[in-house]
Amino acid sequence: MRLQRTIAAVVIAGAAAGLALAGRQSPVPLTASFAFLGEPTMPFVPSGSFITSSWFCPGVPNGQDGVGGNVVIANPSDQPLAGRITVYGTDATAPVSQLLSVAARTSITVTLSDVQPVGTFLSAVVEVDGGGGFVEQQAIHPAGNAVAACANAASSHWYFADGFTAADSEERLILTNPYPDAAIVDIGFVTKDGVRKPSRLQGYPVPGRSVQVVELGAKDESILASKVVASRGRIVAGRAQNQLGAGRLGYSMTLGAPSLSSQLYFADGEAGAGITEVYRIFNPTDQDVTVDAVFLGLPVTDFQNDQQISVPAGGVGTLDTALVRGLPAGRHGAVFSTFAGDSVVVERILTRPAGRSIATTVVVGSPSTLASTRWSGAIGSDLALDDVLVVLNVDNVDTIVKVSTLGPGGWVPVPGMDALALPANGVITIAITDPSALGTPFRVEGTQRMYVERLLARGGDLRGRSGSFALAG
Amino acid sequence: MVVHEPGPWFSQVLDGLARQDYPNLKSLFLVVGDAGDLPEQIRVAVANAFVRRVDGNPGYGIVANEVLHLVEGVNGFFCFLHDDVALEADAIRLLVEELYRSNAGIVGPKLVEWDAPTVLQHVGLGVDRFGEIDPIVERGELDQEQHDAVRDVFALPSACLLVRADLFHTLVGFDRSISFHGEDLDLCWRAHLGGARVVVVPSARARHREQLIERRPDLPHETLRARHRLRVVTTLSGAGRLPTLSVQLVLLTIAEFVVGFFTGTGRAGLAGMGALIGLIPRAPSIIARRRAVAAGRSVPDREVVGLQIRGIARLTTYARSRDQRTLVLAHEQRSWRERAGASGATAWIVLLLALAVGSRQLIADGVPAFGQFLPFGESPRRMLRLATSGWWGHGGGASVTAPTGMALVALSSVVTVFHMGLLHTVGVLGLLVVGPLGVWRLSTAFTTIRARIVTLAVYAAIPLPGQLISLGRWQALAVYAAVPWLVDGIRRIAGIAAGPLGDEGERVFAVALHTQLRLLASVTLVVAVTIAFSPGFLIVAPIVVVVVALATAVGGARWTAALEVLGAGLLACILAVLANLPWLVSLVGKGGWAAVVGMPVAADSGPSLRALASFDLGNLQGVVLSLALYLPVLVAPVLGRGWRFGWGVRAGLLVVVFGWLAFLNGRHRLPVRLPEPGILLAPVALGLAIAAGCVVAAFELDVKGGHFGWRQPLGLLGSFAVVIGVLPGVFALTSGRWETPQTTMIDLLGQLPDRSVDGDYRVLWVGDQRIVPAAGQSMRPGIAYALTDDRTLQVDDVWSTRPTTIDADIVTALDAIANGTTARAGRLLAPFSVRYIVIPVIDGASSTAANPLAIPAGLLDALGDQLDLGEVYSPPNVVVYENKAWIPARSVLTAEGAQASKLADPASLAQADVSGAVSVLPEADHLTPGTVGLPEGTLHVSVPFDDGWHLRSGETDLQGRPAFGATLAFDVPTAVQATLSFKTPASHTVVLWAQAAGWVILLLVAGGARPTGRRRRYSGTVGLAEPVLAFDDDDPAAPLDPILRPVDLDGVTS
Repeated sequence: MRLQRTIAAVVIAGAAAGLALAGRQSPVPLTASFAFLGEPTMPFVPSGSFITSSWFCPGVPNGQDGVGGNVVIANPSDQPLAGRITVYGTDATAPVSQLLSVAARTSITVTLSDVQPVGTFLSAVVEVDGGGGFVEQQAIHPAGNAVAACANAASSHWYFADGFTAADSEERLILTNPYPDAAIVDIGFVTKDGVRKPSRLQGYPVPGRSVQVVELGAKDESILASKVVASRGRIVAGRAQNQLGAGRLGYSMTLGAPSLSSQLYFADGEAGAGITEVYRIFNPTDQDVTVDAVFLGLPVTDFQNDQQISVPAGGVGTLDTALVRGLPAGRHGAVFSTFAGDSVVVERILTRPAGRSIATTVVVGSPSTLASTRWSGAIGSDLALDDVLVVLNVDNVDTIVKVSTLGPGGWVPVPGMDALALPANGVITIAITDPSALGTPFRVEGTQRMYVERLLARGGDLRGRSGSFALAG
Repeated sequence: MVVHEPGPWFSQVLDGLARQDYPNLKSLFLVVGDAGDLPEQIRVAVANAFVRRVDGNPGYGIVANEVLHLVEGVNGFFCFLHDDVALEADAIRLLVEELYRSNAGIVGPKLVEWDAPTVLQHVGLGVDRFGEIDPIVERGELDQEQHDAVRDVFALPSACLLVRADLFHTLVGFDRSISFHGEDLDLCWRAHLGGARVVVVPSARARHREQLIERRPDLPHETLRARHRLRVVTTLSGAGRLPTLSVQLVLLTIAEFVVGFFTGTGRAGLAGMGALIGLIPRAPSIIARRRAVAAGRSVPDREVVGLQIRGIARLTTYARSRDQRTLVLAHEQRSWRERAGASGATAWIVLLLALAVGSRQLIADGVPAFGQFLPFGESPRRMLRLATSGWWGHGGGASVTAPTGMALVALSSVVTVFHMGLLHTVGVLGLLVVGPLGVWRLSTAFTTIRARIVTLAVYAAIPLPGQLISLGRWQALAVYAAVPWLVDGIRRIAGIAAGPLGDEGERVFAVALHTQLRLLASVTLVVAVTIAFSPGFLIVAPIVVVVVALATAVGGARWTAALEVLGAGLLACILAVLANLPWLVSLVGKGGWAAVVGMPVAADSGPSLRALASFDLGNLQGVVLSLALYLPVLVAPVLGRGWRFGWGVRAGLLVVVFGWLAFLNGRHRLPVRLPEPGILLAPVALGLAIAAGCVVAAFELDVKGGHFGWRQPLGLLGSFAVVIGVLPGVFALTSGRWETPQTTMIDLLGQLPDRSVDGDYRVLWVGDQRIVPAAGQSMRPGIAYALTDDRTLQVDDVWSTRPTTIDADIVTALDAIANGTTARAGRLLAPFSVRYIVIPVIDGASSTAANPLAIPAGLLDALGDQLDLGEVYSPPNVVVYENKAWIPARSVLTAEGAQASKLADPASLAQADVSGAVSVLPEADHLTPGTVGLPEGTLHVSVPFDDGWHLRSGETDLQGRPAFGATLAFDVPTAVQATLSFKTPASHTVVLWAQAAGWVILLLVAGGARPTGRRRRYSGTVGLAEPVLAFDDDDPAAPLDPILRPVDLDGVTS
């Protein structure tokens, strides 16, 4: 019995000790994950299968002579696409939906005012059954047409690093709420005098399924960054700029940045006589950051290619390439990066001579996560032009670039453009002159990661170009 | 003489028998239980003794009845003897002489104390009309020949009875339904009814040990005494007196019950109350017995009553004992506080008061509806119909048997006079009493009252039940309440009980087969009821059984006992499964395991070992002190001997085995997932309580008073640890509501619109599986969803089901939301009438405002992307989205919706605008058919497609079809008046009746009922074996014994 007792005691004590030993380390509580969505980002062409895919277009002007806008849906697949477009308007008008169908290997253009004629601004949500295809919008304005990407998703945060109301220039934020319930947003902006949060723009309601046009109320400001934060719901935010002087001319319609980044790329950029190239760096965080700007695609020189810009918390930093000593003339790309994490959004304001005038185009930087070997655009150039596409190779390896356009046979390389050389970290411009390639969706493919901007004619008799990023993917 | 494992005194007993001077004496020994070398010992001591062995131990009277078959003829006398009675040499001769002289039917000697022959024990027994015994002599009364006159008495102790054989045959022996306590009263009373005298012969003397309680600690003596007394009174009292007597019995029993708690006889009072209630199911057998006895009545009842003492014997005895207390031997003087029953009663009073204090707010306001404490609904009748309709509406609904627990809840409402709110409170707080009650019953295996009280106190004070209440874990609480009953039941079946001090191993008593059957039915009921509410017990109960069996083998008991524990326990589990079978069948298949053990938690998010060990699972504070209770687990096997060691090993194994299981399960290191920690820790809590009791008992019995050594400090340390360990239980009493929330998420659901406004709808709960307030399905580890009806949640939402076709589509929709593959998931959910998607944030239990659980990453963002979902203003406890594309539960679809309903592809559903359906039949459901005028079109019903649903117009059944690939639709070709109804399948009704019959049988067997036909078969005088003795035969034919075949094992109790 004594042996039995000893064995039992040892077994129990041993098991208890083993348990204590095994349980020395406590588990770190984990939060279950429902979805791995990541931060919202700039638009791209999604891959994978979808039940329905949605595109949220920021809006186009409407209701006046000479203004309007289109949405272009490209279907590069071999099957027809079906879906519907819902157009939202200002002035408390009800949204209007319309079924749409895009034949295989084609694109269609929907004039928004044909669907919903009422409102000073119209925005659209395009839903594509089964996914596939990609969507862009084009705003038509007497001061110049502007192409903008349509977002893949709405967001509760939107940032704009640039703004301009000098010389009576007009600037409006176009807020679209495609959801059934009202969104509540807080809008703040930064000028050279500091941060401003007008009370009328706090708790600002954006009714469900509507478009709201917001005047910031900042007069004669050449530095005007803004942010829109939805405390409830989510929206799509775009910015309409009609620049009327003080070194800027032209109309731009830009989708905001739905998130901050630590590294942003620009494919286009140019230094030279008569060219003004300014970068606005908006830091809406609570910490000061230092941003390094590096220009890419430059010839080898003794240029010190590392500009540092300090951006205070909640403030705006500016880099004017005219003030960068030793920057070689000509095309270049640029990358802005910070070690402070995702904390900035950068926009480029590029004003080039346009005939006897100038033309200003404003482009939001594309985050590093979108560097892609393939870029697509639903809206190509209608005219045979030089330098329609600007391609930046962000890898340190030379690559070959192929440009295709969408035709009845699917993606077909543009004659002579199926093997364009693109040096490591280099920038090239591509002309689209082949008649068969005009006015059709395009695709740029390479073997290294790239960024692609497109420079389209501004429409009508206007000279100069309007720049925008193509869609990664 | 009936002999059962006698002690060393037995040689004196045999000597007394051998020295009898009555010349024509033949001895028959009926040896019960372990015979050992008894036959040899008997044959050596008593010449010409016949020894027969009897398997089992059905009871004294039943075994003694064997003389009816083993002894031929009636021309003589039977002298029945206990094996602890030492007759004086002339005793039997004097008894026979007086029997002749008095023409008596039964005579008995003067019994004196074994160790003090000058002290009287019994000179016959006085009996009142309630069957209460007046011992005539006082305890400790010296024999001064004051009782030496031969006189008639109402009864004689069965220790030594001389009965005329013809009378004994006429009376058909002792009552076969009485095992121990009361067989003598019954026999003598019936003798009186037959006109026979019962006489005490004081000149005949015998010493008697009278230590049945010490020798058979496994028996519920108080219970048997009370039960058999009431049986005798109700079967033998005259019919004319019975109504009045019944009322008096009830009043007297209640009075004894109340007074008992204040006079140290609480256990007797409790037993009396139990026996009184037990008369109800035993009524048929009592009536049958009365009929049988009626044939032998030859004396008017009033004459028999005249032989009984007047008044109330217990009162008289009590008053007399108070007067003579000073005369009683000093060592027997104990205050009421020192008496076992009184201490136990005090402990229970303190415990109940503590529970009342700790639950005061819940008692006053009711248990809040949160976690698994969902409301019981208002109508028990409706709940019973829900349980038996063949359609279980939980989730999306399915044509399966509803959980047995729903029917049990409905039937239990009888207890609270159909007050469901009160039943809800009792159903939760009552478990705090049921568990300790089980432990108290289990601890009858301990011989010291201190050990019992400590075991009770520790099990009640352990933080586990309080934590479970604070979290609203009803299922785990049920397991906490059930585990002690399970362990107690299987140890009783195996006959495991405390042996005498000094026994190296545990004692295992033979248990009559019918008693085992009764206990098996009781254990089965415990397991079945628990599984009905907590299916996880299906997994835990067999493991408990295996652990207890293993510990029994290791702990020094006979290996056969371990096998009996194992066999009985597993058999009970199997029978419990059968009792729940119609419902459990619905859980077989993919997803069934999760329905049994609960939904998986996120990887590595299980509680830490410290949290598990200290039961730090809920919101009670200061529970770390309960870690002290683990010291007794280590100490008990070292300190304890005999039964202390056996139970110490059981406690230790329960703790370490289930501790390991809970730990490994939390770390996802087991090949299969086990139930939630609260369920797995219930056996740990029991182990801790048993270990604490063992340490106290070991200190009291094995350590105290011994030589000083390491045992003393260790025992003291263990006892001190017990005191420290119960402190958290005291702390837990302060809040008065076990830290349950004041306002619950479910209360807030009242802000959702009434279904009568826009039609019936459902709510889809999605979130952390710990705070989703209804049993649902796992979407991925840590995330669950549940589908509930409109703004109400009821107890039927506690039970999980296997995923249905609807679940597959809901998962598809949720995956689409999670992956962003559509912004129109609202349309995917529309066919299931999902109007609201609710994300639980703070339930006040698992997630509090001070310490909220994180919402699953990406959930709100993903839902926010959906174009059909609008966020509704809601309190911070929940985030609510309204699905603008929802379809009412019974509605006429739009043309586009009707077209889309013919397709099963999610894509086509997401691409079609199905909103705009018109709600119809707002009150109709599977219980209530509804009639409505339908336009031409499609009637959609948001339930899985099932043939049981019918839409009938006049004499025409409209054909149903699957809609949206999962739900039900009826195409209505022209406008008609039609009735929607659900028809319960006949097969389902048959199955339910069979199940109900099974439960009734279990209840009857557990209550001690036996088939009447079977009892009649054994109650006759037909010999069970060939006679071995005859009154006129001096030369017995068979001096040595073949094993006697078992006697009527069903005849012990009723």
